[in-house]
Amino acid sequence: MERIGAMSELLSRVAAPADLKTLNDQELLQLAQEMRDELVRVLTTRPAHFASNLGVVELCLALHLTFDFSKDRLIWDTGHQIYPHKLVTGRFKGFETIRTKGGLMGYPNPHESPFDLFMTGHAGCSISCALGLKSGDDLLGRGENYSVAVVGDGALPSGIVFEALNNAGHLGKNLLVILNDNKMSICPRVGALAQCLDRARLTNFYQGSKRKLRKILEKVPSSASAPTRRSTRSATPSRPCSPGGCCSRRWASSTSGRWTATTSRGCAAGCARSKARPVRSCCTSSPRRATASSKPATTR
Amino acid sequence: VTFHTPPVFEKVGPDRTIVALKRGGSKAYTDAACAAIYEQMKANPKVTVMTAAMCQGNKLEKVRTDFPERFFDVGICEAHAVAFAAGQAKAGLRPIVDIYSTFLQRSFDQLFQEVALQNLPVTFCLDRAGLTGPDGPTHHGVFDITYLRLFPNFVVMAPGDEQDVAPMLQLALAHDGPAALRYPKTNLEKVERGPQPVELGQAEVYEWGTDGAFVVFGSLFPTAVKAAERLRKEGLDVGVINARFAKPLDRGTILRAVEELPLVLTVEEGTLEGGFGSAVLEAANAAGLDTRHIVRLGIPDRFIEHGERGELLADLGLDVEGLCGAVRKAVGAGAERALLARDE
Repeated sequence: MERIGAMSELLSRVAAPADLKTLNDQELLQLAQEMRDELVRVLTTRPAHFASNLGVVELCLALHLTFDFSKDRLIWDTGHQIYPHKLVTGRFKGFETIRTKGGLMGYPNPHESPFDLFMTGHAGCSISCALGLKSGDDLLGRGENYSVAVVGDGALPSGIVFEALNNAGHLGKNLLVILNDNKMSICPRVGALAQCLDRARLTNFYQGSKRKLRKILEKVPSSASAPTRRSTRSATPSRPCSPGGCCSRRWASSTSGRWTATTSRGCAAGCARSKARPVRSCCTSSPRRATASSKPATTR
Repeated sequence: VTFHTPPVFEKVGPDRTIVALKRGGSKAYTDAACAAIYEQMKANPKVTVMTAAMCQGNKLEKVRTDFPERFFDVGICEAHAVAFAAGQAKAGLRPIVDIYSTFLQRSFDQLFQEVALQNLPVTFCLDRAGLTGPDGPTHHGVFDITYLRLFPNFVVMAPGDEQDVAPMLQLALAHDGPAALRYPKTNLEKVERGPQPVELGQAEVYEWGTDGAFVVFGSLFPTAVKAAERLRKEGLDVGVINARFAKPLDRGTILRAVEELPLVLTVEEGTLEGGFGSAVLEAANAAGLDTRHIVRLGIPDRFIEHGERGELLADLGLDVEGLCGAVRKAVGAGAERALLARDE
């Protein structure tokens, strides 16, 4: 099973997430395609988690472009959607060994990489852990660190998710929860909450907001020439808002369509966070949130 | 707690004013644990404490007042409390989850995945471990020894008396992995002795006997000491070992007792299924020792009804008389076995 040379031209150059910042929009698009090709190439040779990983390629890139996870905190819930994250955190070379004895684990593994924080294999705990990490960072004088939980719509109805949201809202921590509403939870998802998410997407408000958002993004100059999207950690206003708006404006403009297509339902909303107004709890795929999150953080 | 489970009232004075009936004023294990938690929080700014809506039950009001930024009441959300603590531990803090034993059962999966699997330094203070009394089977905390010792990386300990509480908490917080200490809902008891320092995986030999030994995990240590005194008057020399750790087990001390003594009785205020006694049997078996002279005393394989803790312990043979009876019975059986062996 040979790698086709051109197939991973860019991917083989990404030794760490910092390398992503050297790529322009076209290259990021190409990288996303290379990542998908690599996922398909390896995952068709053995039983492994497939669709969940294909669905978060752009989300993964957006997160790593937006945050610095050598300091910021990221928990994938569940961890079986970690493959793209592994590809851009120095584990592309060993990716062929995934889920084989002595090879890479098919879940986050702190023993493999400092970018993996928790071995998450059971769904629902990401928000609790991310909140604990944020709370710990705050108490230990690292309040500038961000904490991000990516939770699927399959994990969302878990009891512990509501326990965590209840506590997060009370503590008022600066926490980002991304809902990956892909309509799956191993089997097709079921339940009243799923219906709520579906109904929310059918409203005129949501559809209209989505159209407006697209128009706004189209006007944003796409910018091979744009400076690095995150020059300093302290420059909060310049930090992009949330993956709901595909994080970085130029990244959003170039990939939002793709993202929607590849996640099949679109990855829904993040809630933006700014120091001026900490997020109360998290986001849903509600239209109001989705729209708001597309604005720069400073406007919130 | 004032309104959740109000105290007993009485009418006093000529105008029959209603006031809360004053109790004896003796301190409970909860008080000792809480005082130890307070001291640790004072000494180490990395120590935090979580409670799942049990601030008053665990007497944490002073902690809440004096360390508000390090006190977290997450509501009746035990699973979140544990995973949240795991996040804090990962960030570099030393969280204590102060929780009733029976309610920690709701966090079984978080104990496994978020804490044990990641080997994070989360300390669990299991209050109301053992028979809680009038609340009955929904509140008895009798399964924790079993379900905590299942997991790799966990340290599981129980103070033998009040003098063990603070050192055990200190050890747990200094340990680079998950650790739990369990104590009952009862007044503090003290065994007069110069206690040996609490060291990881080390039992304390209170006294060595020639006819046998009680190997006690936790709160029934003072009961076993009293039983040994009574038995001595009857001419039986039974020693007492304060096991302190169910995991890691002090194999050196306990297996020496199994090997050298004609009778070993394990005593615990927890379920016999997979509990401390099971740990001793497993260790003896792994060491290739005869285990026929090991008698396990604890909570049998059925749900225990409500009643005063003392009444329930007596019913289950876990009071002084019950322990003495178990020794007499075993010694009788042992003598019979010896006679049979001689006749053969």
